[in-house]
Amino acid sequence: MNAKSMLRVMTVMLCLVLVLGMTGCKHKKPAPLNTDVTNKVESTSGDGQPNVDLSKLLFEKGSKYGLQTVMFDFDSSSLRPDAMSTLKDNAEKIKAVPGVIVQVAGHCDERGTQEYNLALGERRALAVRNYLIQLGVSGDRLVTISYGKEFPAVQGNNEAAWAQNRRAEFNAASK
Amino acid sequence: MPSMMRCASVLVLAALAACAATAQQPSMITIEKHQDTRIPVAVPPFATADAGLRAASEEMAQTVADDLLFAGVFAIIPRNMYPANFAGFTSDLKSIDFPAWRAAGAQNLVYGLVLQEGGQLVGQFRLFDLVSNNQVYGQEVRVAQGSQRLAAHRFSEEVIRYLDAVAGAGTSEIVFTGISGKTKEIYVADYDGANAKKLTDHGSVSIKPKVSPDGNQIAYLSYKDRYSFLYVLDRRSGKSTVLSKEVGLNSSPSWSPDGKRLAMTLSKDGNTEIYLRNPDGSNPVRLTRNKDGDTSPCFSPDGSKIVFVSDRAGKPQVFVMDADGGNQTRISFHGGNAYDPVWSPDGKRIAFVSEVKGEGFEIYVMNPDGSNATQLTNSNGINESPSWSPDSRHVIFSSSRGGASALFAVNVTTGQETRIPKMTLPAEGPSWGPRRR
Repeated sequence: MNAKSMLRVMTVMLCLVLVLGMTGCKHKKPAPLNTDVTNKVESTSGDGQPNVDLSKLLFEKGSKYGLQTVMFDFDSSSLRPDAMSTLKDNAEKIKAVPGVIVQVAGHCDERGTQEYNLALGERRALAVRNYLIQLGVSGDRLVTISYGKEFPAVQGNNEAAWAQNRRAEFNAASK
Repeated sequence: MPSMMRCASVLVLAALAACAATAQQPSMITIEKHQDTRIPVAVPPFATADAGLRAASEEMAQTVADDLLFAGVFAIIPRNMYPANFAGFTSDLKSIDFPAWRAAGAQNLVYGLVLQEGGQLVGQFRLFDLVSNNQVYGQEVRVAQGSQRLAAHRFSEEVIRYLDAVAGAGTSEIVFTGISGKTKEIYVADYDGANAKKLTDHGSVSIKPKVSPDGNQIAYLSYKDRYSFLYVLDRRSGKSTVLSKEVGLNSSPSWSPDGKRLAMTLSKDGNTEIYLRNPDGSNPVRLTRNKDGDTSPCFSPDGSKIVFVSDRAGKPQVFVMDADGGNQTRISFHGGNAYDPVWSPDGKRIAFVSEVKGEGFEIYVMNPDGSNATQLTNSNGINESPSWSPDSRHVIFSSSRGGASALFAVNVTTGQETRIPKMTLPAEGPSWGPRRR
C-alpha cells in the first residue's frame, strides 16, 4: 500500500466516522416532550376538530385523551376515591368517542391463588364497568376481562410491586 | 385377601387415631417422626435373558421402587444391603436365597422377569413374603415396546394394594400448565413427570386444566380468542371445543364424578357466580346468587355436593352446597383466607390453600365438615392449585418456593413433600387424572 492510497483509505474512514457519529447523535437525541401527540392535536387546522384519531388515542395511556389505569387495595374490588376521580375523567373521554367499544381488564397482585385472582380481577373490572355506566357510559360499550395474576405490570414480590399490579386497564375490544 | 384388607383398614384407622391423639400433644410428634414404621421391601434389578432388554428391565425395577417409596408406606432396601451372594435375578426362581434377603432386612421381595413376545414387552412380576417365603402376589403385564414404565406402574399399584389395602396410583397421569416464556400450554405427563407431552399449541396463555374422571377430556381456560373462555380438549381427537364463551369471566371448571356436568365460575350476570353446564356447553343452571364473589367449585366424589370459595364472609372462605345449589353453608372458619378447595376421591378430606398473614400460602387438609384443619406444607413462596391423587394418598400442587413455578406432591399421612422428580419444564396448575386401564 503506497502513501497515496493509504491517505485515501484514511479519508474514507474519517468520513465514515463523521457520518456514523452524526446519525448516531440524531438517533440518540431524546424527542422533546412538547412534540408528543397530545400537543399535535391542539395545534391543528383551526376547524375545532383534531386531525388525530381519538379512537386510537383513547387507548394510549401517555396521551391526555387516553384512558388511565385505576388501582385497587389488596383483595378488594371496591373503588377507591382516587379511582373514582380517574374514572370520571375516563367516562368523559369514552363519551367523546362514540361507537368505540372498551375492554376493561382486571388484574391482581401475585398473592391469592391463580383461580381466586381470576374471579377477583373480574370483580374489579365489573366494579369499574358499573361505575362508568353510572357516569353515563352505555353498558354495551364496556366489556370486561380478567387476567387474574397472569400479567403483572411490574415484577417483584414486595408491596411496591403488588400495589402497581392491582389494577384495571383499558384496551380496545376486539370484534 | 378381604380379611387382610379389613385388617389393614383397621391398622390405617388406628394410625389415624394415633395421629389425631398426637396432634393434641405436640411433644409426641418428634418421637413419632424418628420411628420408621415403613415396610422394608427389596426391589433388585429384574431378570432378563435378552441383552437388549437389560436397560428396560433395570428401569422397570427402579420405577417399581420409586412408586413404592412415593406411597410413603415402604422403605426400599438399598443396594449396599443386598446379600453378598446376590449376583442378579435369573429366570430360575429356585435360585433366590430368601433367608439372605430376610437377613438383609427386607420383609418383602419384588421379583421380575422381562421378555419380548409377539412384538410386546412382557413383565412377569412376583411379590414374595420373606416371613413365609411364599409368593403372595403375581402378575403378568403386556405393554407396547417402550412402555416399560407403564408396565412397572401397573405392577406397583397392585403391590401397594396388597400390602396397604388401597391400590397405588402409578399408572395415573397429571395434566398441567407448562410455562415457556410468556406462553402457557396444556401438557400431560406420567404422575412422576416422565413422558411429558404438549397437548395444546395455541401460542397463548392456556391455564388451569381439569382432567375428566375417565381421563379422556380436559377442560381448561384459554385467552387464545382474546377473552377468558373455557374449552374442552378431547385427547382422542386432539380437538378443542367451546365449553363456555359468555361475556366476562369463564373460569374454574370442575367435572362431576360421572363426567356429565361441569361446575364453573361465570360473571355474565354481573358477579362471579357458580353455574353448571354439560361438557358441550349446553343445559346451563345457575347455582349461587349473592352480591359477593363465588368461585372455585369442586364436586364431592359421590356427586351430591359442591365445595367452593365465597367472599360472603367478608374474606374468602370455604363453603359447601348441594349439587343443585341448596343448603349453602360455610365450613372453614380459618384464621386467614382460604382458597382452592378440592375434595379427596375417598370423600374423607378436603384440601385447600390457606393464607395466614405472615405465613404465606400453604396447603392444608380438613374434614368435609371443616373440622381438624391440618397444615401440610411449610415453605416460602406461594403453594396453590391442589389436586388429589386417585388413591387419596397425595395432594399435588404448584409452588413458587424455588423461584420458577414447579410441581410438588405432599403425602397427606406422612407430610413428606416430593418435587415431581421427572418434570423438566416450569409448570403450574396440576390436575391429577385417573389410573390408566
